[in-house]
Amino acid sequence: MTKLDPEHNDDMLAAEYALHVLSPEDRAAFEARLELEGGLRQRLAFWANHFAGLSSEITPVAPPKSLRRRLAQAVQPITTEPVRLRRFSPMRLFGGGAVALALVVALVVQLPDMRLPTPFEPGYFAGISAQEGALVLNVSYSAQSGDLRVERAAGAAPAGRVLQLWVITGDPPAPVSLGVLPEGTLADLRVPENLQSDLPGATLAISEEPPGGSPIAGPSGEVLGTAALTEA
Amino acid sequence: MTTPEDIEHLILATARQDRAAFLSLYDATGAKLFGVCLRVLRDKAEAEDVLQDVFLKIWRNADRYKVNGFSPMTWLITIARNGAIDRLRARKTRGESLDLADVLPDPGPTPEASAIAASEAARVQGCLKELQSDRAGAVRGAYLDGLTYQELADHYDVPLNTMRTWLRRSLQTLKECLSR
Repeated sequence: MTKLDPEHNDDMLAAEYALHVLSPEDRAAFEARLELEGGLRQRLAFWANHFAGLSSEITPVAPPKSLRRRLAQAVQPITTEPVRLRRFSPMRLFGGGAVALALVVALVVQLPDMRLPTPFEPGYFAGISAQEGALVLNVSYSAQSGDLRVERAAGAAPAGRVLQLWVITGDPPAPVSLGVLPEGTLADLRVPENLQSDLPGATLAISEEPPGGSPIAGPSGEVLGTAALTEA
Repeated sequence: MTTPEDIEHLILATARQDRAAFLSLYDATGAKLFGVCLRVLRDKAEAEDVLQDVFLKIWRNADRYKVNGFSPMTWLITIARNGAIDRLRARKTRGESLDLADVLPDPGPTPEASAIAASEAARVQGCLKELQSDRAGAVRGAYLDGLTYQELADHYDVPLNTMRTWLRRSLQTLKECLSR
């Protein structure tokens, strides 16, 4: 019955995806379709929203107080040494097969409680010059670690405003925020995992925004300058 | 009690990199999400580790919340569940087994106040009641405990394909009930 009715099959797939019972391969294939198919996203939302009702069975448990402190620290707007936290994404790696799986296992075994900062070794650079050289930003990026360093060599945000860095990415291309720059001249930003591979070769843009950053999805203020992030 | 609107407001503010809102979101939902992680992982240290990753993911990806049509609590619970299940499966590939007898059968619903719309919770629980109890148990085991088809098949002592047919039939019945 299922093979003859693609809509029904999609519905079942969406439910299985929401339950997380698909194999890693089927899960990855479903996620690839999700990116493109709005109808599939609706089916998934139907199931996810209903299944979430089952979570009413789960009793909340107060997490240790230390976790709140670590999170507060991790989202500090400026750190000259990026806060390093354990993170890995096994599902992404599963797609790569057995070698990746072995790597995941190795990571899982080795990572707990390791918070050694890795040295910042940028391979990509962009020089953004705006307002006829009155504002100059030197951006460097390490594709290995996903760390982005922004050095403000000249100029500053207009009074009462902040500078926000964007990467132009996606299809169709659209600006995605990489973060609001702090007042200091040096800022280390962590590029979200899902954007890390987009950065090499991409165009970066700097805009001036109200404090806290643009209230909308893209820049709300003036885009002051752009530059491509190219290999050194 | 925090309403879904409050949670949504905090997620949207987090998307604007509002640290205070992010911490308020943590205060409002951290215990629930820790419960979700604990339920799947059954290990406090691992659940804490995953919860940290989960909230950093929320901090980084809050701007994507609007894209998928999830309710605010669904979005948060999904991130927590996926994080915990990914960790659970990675642990299993290391050969550590889980005693399924501890997991199933489910002790039964213990409803509590939360930002999940009460009607939604009642709805899915009501529809699960229309299924045979072991079939409803399989849906719960998959959702709440992160069990795989293979584990469910082992538990109910049926072939993998039978388990899959079972669950799909249950999901079809659920769908009809939920769409009424």
